[in-house]
Amino acid sequence: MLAVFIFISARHERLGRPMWVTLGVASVWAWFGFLYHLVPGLELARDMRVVSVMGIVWLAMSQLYFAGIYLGERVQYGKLVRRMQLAIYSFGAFLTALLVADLFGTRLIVGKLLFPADVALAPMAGPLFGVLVGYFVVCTIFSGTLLAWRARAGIDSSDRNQALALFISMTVGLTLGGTRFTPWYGFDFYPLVGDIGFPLFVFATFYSIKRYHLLNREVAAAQLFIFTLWTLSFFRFLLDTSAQAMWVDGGFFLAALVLGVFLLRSVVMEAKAQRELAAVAVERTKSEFITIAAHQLRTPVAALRWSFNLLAEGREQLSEKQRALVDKGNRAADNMMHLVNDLLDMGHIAEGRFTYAFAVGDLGDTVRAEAGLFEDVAKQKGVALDVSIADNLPAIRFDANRLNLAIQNLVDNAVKYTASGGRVTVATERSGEGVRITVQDTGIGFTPDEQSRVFEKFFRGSRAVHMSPDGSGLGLFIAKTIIEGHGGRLTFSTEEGKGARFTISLPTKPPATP
Amino acid sequence: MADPFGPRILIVEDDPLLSELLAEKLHGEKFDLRMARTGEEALESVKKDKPDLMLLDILLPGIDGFEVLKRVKEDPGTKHIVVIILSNLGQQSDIDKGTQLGAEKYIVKVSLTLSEVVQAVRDVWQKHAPQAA
Repeated sequence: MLAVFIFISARHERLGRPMWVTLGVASVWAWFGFLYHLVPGLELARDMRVVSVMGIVWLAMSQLYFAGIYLGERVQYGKLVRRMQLAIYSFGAFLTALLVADLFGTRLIVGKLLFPADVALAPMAGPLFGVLVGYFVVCTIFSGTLLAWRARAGIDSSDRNQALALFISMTVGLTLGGTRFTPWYGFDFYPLVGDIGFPLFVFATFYSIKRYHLLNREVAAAQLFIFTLWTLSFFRFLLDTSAQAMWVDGGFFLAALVLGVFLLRSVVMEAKAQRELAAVAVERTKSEFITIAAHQLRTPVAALRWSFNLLAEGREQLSEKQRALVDKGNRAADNMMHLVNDLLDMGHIAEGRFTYAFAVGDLGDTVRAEAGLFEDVAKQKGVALDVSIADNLPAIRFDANRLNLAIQNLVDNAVKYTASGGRVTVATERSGEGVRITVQDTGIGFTPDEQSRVFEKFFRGSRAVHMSPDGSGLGLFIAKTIIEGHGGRLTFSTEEGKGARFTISLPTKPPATP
Repeated sequence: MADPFGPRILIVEDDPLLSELLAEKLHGEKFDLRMARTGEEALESVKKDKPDLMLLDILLPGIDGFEVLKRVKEDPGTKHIVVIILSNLGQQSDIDKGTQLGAEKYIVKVSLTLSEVVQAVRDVWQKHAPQAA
């Protein structure tokens, strides 16, 4: 469990939190399970065992909590999953209440303890003990499913493998934990599986930490130090015989607890800052490379386009086959130009060199002209293209070159991803002090899975790739950057298979440029 | 053969294929053409051939396009030459610099088709041609 915790906290703060919960719960489980074997008197031992069993319920719940948050990083899952999670939490709370009742004398889940721990392996199972085991199994399967889902939704192979490693280590961990239930039925299965399974589990976890460079030595060392300090001071406090010593050791334990949390937090934050710095450096090198490569490509791409332009001018002298070839070449060269320009824009955005030159202009004319560029394509495809411009548009300051590109990207997508017989509507209207431009289509739209990633760099929906294989996946990212550079907002709504609607909201004045 | 009312154009372009394509297209449009491959050649041709209009690339071997533009605009004998920058540098700062130094128009090569380049040349020339034309 500690290994899993290190594995996680070395990566994400947000994921670290549910792991804190898991670790705390696991400690309750382990400590009270441990005390069960130590304390004198059968009644007290049984109470310890009840608390330990409560820890098992919470452990199962916290795994599910973690799996939900981890999955939520990549996938927006639906209401059904959330409702199931809620139902499981509620049932966990119900079981906890039953266990609290057991502490006060009922024998619903944890039965009577007849013999001390060195004689019998566990107390008697209560009548509802089977429900608890069932609950544990359902939780393990459900959180395992969520983790497996997360592994499948990973953005690249290393992301998928990380999720897979977590899936295996957690589900194996919980399943092994489940074998601790067998002594209740009179047979201790654990030493059999535990002796083989547990070292395997630890080995697999550490291997994946090493394989994916997830171990942060500073964080791990600080954690080990703090946990040792906590454990030692806690047991010192427990074993104290006089009240005075308990006060002193209790105070020391509390101080170690609070200061330890602060120390761990600062170490984790420091490590995170270091990682971010390293990531920024890598990102800069990457964007510099993209900028240089894209720039170098511009000259040969211009040469290709111009060659095809010249060939197309003499098209009457060409055979039909040659003419078709020239047209295809022309289109390919145009595509290449768009790709290279997108990459260059992306590089400039990443380097903070994507600047704006704002001036007052006629936005209506701009929208009409840019949407008009797609009239021929739309007509050829059999897609109706309607453009409407309100006459009461306010005067507005914008960068014509940049805004043209944003509008082109939106209209281009709308026409490209709408099948024959569909309709694309571009409307420009006054909205309060500013202007609203909507581009609506009756095309393929976005699936729920795709919706959270629409504005991501290089992201393309699978059906979009199928419909139009070339495309950089940068158009919407660039459009959003441009609109936000104008102090505006680009939003969308969509229904899978029924189309998408992108809305640009622009203020009359863009933010002051530095 | 050259259009008597058209400008004499100096093409300053170091990429042989691009300059050949430009020449082919503009020649077809009956413009009187001169070619230069480097900044130095460009300055020499400016003195010798006295062009009316220049299509000027920025990234050139030797003296770069900005420097050529600066020298042409500083010299009272040549500052009337209409300059269109034809480059693949498309950053706003490059465009601003070109305009400040006195270029009439800034074209990013990759973004325009050959016909659009010719149209831009015609538009600029129409605005700046001596009144006699």
